[in-house]
Amino acid sequence: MIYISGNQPDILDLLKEYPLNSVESLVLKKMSDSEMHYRYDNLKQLRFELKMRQEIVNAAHALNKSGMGFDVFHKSKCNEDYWFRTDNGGFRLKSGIKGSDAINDIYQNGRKYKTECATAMVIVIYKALLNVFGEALFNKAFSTIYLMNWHALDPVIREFGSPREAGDILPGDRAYFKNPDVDPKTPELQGENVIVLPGNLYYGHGIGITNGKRIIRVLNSNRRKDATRTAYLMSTVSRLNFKRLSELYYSNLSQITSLQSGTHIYPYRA
Amino acid sequence: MDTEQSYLDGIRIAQGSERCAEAFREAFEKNGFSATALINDRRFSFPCLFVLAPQIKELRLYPRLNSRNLTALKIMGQFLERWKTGSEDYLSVKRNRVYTVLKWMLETGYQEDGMNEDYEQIMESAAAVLLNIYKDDSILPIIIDMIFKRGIKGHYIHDLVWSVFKLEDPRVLKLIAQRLRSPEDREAELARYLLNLDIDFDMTVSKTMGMREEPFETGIIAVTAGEMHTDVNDKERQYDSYIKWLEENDPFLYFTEDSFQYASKPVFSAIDYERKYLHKKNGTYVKQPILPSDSTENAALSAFRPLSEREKSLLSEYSFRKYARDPAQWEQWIRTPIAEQLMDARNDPGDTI
Repeated sequence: MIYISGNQPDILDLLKEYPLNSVESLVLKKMSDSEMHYRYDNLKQLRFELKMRQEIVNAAHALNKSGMGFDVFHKSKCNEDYWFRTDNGGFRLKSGIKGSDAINDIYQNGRKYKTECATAMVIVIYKALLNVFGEALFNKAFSTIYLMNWHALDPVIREFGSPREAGDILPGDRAYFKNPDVDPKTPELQGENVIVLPGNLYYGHGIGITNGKRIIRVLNSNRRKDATRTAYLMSTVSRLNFKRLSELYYSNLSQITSLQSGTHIYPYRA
Repeated sequence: MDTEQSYLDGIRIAQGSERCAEAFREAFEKNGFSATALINDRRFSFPCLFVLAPQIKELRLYPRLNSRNLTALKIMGQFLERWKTGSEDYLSVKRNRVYTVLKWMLETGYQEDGMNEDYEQIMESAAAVLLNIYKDDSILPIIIDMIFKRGIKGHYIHDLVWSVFKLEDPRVLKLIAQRLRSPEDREAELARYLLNLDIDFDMTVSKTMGMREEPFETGIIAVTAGEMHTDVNDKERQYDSYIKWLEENDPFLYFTEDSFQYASKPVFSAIDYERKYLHKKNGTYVKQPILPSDSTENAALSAFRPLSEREKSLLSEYSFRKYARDPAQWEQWIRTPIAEQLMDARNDPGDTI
C-alpha cells in the first residue's frame, strides 16, 4: 500500500505517467499491491524513488556491458588517471578529479577495472545517482568517493551497506545470495551481492544478469567437499534512503540544469 | 654448524629479498646441486621460497625440490590462480602432507605478511584452509596478530576476519578483546569495531580514524548499550567489562555468519535473547531454535517474540539477573503479562534486583 501524506493515491492515475512494463510501473504496482506500507510526504518523493530505481536498473545493465573484470581485492585494478588504488584494494577518487568523470570512466573503460561483487554494487548506485542528479549536483554532493565494498560508504548512501528484513524485494534493491558452506579457499564466493532487476532477474558482478537458480547453482558448485547447506537468497535487502536523497535533490534543483533537459536519462525497457 | 636460520634466510633477513635472489643465482651458477640443497634446507622458510619462486621456475628446478617445497609451490599456485581449472586440487580434501606444508608456510611466513599483495593472499588463504578445513585452532593467535598488523597499516583484512569468525569459537572474541588494552589507539579501535562496541573504523590510513556515526539500527544488536563500559580512554576497564559481559552471556552467545561482503557493519556474534529471557542455555555457538518445555514457556515466548530488538535486549537482561538472584521469584514473574515485565525492566535502576 502506498500512502502520500497519509492518504492512498489513485494508482491508475500514477501508472499513466510511466510506460507499460517500465521499472517505475512495475515498482508502483508491486508497492500498491503489497501489504507493506510505503509512506511519502508528497508525490515528488515517490516519483524520485521510482526514477532512482529505474536508473539503478539501467546502471546495472550498463555495468554488465562495460567489460569491467571480476577479481579479489588483492588483484583489483583501476584506471589510475581517475582513481588511487588503496592498499586494501579499494579505489579512492583522485584529488582534482570530478566524481562524475571518474564514475563515467568505469562505464566507458570497464576493461581497465577489476573488483569484487560488492564494490560493483556501489558503482551502480553512484552511476544511478549521477544520472538522476546530473553532473553539477553529483559533484557537489560527492566530492570524495571511495569504492571498497560497503566500507566507508558516503553517509548519504550508507543504508545501501546495511541489509534488513523487508516485506518486498523491489527492482533497484540490493539483495544477497548467501553460500554458507563455501569452500574456505574461495571466500569471495561466500555469497553474491546482486541488484534486483525486473522479471525475476538479478545483476551480480562476475556472474552477469541471470536468474536466482543459476546464481545458486554457481555458488553451490563452489562449496566445501563436506557441505550440507545450499546457497540461498536471503530475505533481507539493502535499500537507499530515497527520502533523504530526494531532499538533497529537490533542495538543489535550481542547480540541475542538465536534468531539466533530460538528455542524460536513458530509459531501460524490460 | 646448525643455526636457526638457513643460509639464504640469513641473507634475505639481513640484506633483503633482491640480494637473497642474487645470492641464490650466484650459488646456482657455481653448482646447481649445492644451490638446490640450500633451498631444501630443513631450516628454509616460506618467505624465502616465495622470493625465489620465479627463479626456481625459470631454472626448472622442480624435479630437484624436496616434497615440502614442491607441495608449497603447488599450493601457492592454487591460491593465486584459484579459478584455473584442470590442475590438481591440493586443498579441498584433508591430507596430512598438505596440512604439514600449510602450517610450515604460515608459521615461518606470517611475520613477513605484507611483503606484497600476492603474499598476503597466500597467507590468508593458508589461514582459511587451516582454520576451516583442518580445524587447526592452534594458529588463532597468529591470525589475530595478522589481522591487527594489517588493520593498522590499512591493508586488506576482510577474508582473515571471515576465516576466524567462521570457526564459531568465543576464543576469537577473547583474543580480539585483548587488543582493547593496546596502547596503540588504532589497534584498540579495530578491536572495538570487530567486537561491535559502537564504533566505526576506517580501514584505510589516509582519513580520520574511528569516526563515530549516529546510531543506525541494523536488526541485530551485538552488545547492548549500558551493559558495557564505553570510556575508550579507560582501556583496562573496557577490557574487563567486555570479558565479564562475555563470560556472563556465554551460554546464550551465537555466531551470525555475518561478513564484510554482506554488510558495512557486520555483527559477527550476538546474544540469543529468547534463550537469555527464558534462561535456557545453548550447548553450541550456533543459533538453535527453542522448544518450549511447558505452556508457561510457550506463552512467555509468544509474548516476547513480537517485541522490538531493543525491548528484547532490555527484558532478557532483566530476566537473566532476576533469575540469578531468586529463581523461585523468577518463576512467578515470568508468568506475569509482558507489559508488566517490560515496565519492571524499564523501572529497574540497574543492580537493585
